[in-house]
Amino acid sequence: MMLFLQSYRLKWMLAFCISLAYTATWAQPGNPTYSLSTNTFFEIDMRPIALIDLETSAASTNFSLTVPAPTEAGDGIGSGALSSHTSNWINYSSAVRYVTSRDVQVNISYGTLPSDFEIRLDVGMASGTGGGTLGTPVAGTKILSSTPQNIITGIKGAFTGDGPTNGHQLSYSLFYTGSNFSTLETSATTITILYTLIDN
Amino acid sequence: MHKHKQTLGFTLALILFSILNSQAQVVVTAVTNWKRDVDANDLTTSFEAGNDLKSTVETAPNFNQLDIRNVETTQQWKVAISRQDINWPAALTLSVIRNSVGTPCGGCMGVNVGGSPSVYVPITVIETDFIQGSGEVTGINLQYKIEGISLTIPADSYSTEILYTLYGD
Repeated sequence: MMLFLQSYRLKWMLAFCISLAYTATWAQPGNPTYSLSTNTFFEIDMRPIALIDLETSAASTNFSLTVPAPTEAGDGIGSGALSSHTSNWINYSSAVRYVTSRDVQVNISYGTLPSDFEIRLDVGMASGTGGGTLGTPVAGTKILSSTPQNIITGIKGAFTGDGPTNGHQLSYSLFYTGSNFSTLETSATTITILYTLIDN
Repeated sequence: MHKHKQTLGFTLALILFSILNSQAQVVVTAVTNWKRDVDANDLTTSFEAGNDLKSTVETAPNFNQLDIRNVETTQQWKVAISRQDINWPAALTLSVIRNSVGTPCGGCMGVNVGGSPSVYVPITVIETDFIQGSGEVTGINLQYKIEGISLTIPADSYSTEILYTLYGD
């Protein structure tokens, strides 16, 4: 062995190896190096969420709007709101990821109102226990039809809170727009009003 | 001469390898990549419109195991934790708790329970002491918790890397 160490090159090789070995020994606790670390990767993937429903302070989200009979003989049925309903609220939870925002649209998806009658809808500002970027009601009263129309826009990552008094209050009113009383007849008509959360 | 040189080089390499191989280690076993999807099932009432997401996600109590290997029987050590963000929102806090003392080697004290209580420790970008002990120990159960989850945080995929660094006296 000594014979080999007489070689200058071998001495350097040995010195280098000893140095490396010392470094490895030196890299013990107290002198942490990267080799004394370990890691775990964590990822939380928040997926898109789009949920909407109706809540009510009444027994059901179904409701009736009636045409009250005149209380005075000779009177017509009037030109103002014949009846109204304000117990329903729109709730939603939204997480937007691949879209910029969401809107709520409304339309009559089933049934037809008798001629000269219309249902008008007003949507309130969001209230209650929600948070995030809630939507803004479209200004003005909407007359319901079979054609979808925006009633709330600009919903981003948001939640309204769950249950009545949370979210957007819906105010429906029944109006008679005609003047020809000869066409009036007693009947009951059922319609379905559809609310849709759409991506932009 | 040439043959002797080769033999010597090989011997030295073996010595070096054995020393390197016995280097102290901190090792996380079981799970090294963790991904959790958060969706409508994670609302405070699942799939119920109007609700926010549950603010906390917690792993199983024995989700991960931590080993301290190749240290002397009486070698005192500590493990510090830190976070290296890839894209991690400030609104989310990540914590880890030691849920067991693991199994110390024969004659090793293992985890110093008094010096490293079993409480959630926030993992931040600044290194924080986590567990102390001496000698080898394996199978220290780790549990993780993410807090601050909400629909108010933009929906995205957020990632971070947790680093465990072993220190000694």
